[in-house]
Amino acid sequence: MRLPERAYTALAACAAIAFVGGALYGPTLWERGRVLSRTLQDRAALADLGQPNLNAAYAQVDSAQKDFDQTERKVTLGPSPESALSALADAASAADLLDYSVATKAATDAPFGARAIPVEVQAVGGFKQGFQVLREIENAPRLIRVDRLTMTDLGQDRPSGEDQTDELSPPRVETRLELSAFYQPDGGAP
Amino acid sequence: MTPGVDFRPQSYIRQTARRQRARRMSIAAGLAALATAAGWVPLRAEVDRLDRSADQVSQQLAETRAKADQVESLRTQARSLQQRAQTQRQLALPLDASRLLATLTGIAPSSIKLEQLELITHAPKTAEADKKPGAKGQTAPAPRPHYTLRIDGVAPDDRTIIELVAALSKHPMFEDVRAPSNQFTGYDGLLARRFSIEATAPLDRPVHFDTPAQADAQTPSAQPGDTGFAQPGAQRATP
Repeated sequence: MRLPERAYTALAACAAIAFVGGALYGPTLWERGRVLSRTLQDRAALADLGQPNLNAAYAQVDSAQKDFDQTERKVTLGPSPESALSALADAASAADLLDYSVATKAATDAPFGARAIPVEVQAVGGFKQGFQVLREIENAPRLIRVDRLTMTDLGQDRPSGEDQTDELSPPRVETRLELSAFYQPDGGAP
Repeated sequence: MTPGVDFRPQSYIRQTARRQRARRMSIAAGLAALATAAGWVPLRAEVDRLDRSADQVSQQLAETRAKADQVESLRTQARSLQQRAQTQRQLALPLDASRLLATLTGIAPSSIKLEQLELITHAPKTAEADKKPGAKGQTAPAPRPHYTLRIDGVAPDDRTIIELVAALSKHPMFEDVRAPSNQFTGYDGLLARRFSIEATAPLDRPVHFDTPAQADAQTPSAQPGDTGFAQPGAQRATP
């Protein structure tokens, strides 16, 4: 069967369109679909995230920081036994106390999610020095609670020898303190 | 007009017709290809535009995610600070032992000889302390936080002891003042009275000092022969 001339020409044109169209449009249309799909996914994720309010978050931190700064004495983050010992050494130094001993024990649970390092202090000196140590400890930047205070009069040192009428030395007082140096465990915020 | 006579051979005519057909087909195919390509250009441009737009959306998403992470980090920081501040407030006692001692030295008669002073803090020591079950499985109320104070000393006479008990009883810082022991004793060759006094100081109410600066600066004196108690009237506290 012999086809008319126009039919051959139309077939040639169709073949050309199919070849060029397949080569150009196929990948392009596939890429278009991929881009549109990615855009839709990203837009959906954006809608889920909403608009994070950085200013409000900064204001929240500022407010919490101010609130935190208002508390006079701080609970350290982590045990930091050195800061407790440092506070006690400073207290002893401020009280001009040389004869004293400090012992720490293993940390224990404390209320409100905190923990505490038990510390025992024993000092011998005048009443004024014992009081000064106590006051310095309670004024330390670190929150240290006095669990028990015992002050015992040890009497007065009289000079040895025959003359007992000399001026008396200051009364010696033994001050024993059982303390709790509080700290917040790392990552302890609920 | 008479039809002309074609003297060309039939083979030549057929070959010429084939060539014409091939030329027409080539031209048609070329034109079709050109037209198809021309239609593809705007499509390609649109895809490029969509791609750029998608990149912008992706960048915006990445920025928003970073911002959201930062907001979450800041919120965590704020929660940690709030928790620490709350813990500090809950653990700090409203009345320091040193202030109580300063108050005691301020109101005690100066003729008293202190032999032993014991101050014990009764406040929750563990988180479980508040959760101890009471009778019938009910949760017992948390014990009232307080100091207990015990003073053992020597006084020249009963009147001095009564004066100290009265001063403690009248002072708003102290409650439940007791004198469990009071007996004659010898002291440095003189007759005196050895006594014990117990009292509690509640810690569940704020204490306001009328003269905090003076109270802070007040340190009991300790001169030779001094009992360790300062002169009365050094400070007054009101609950």
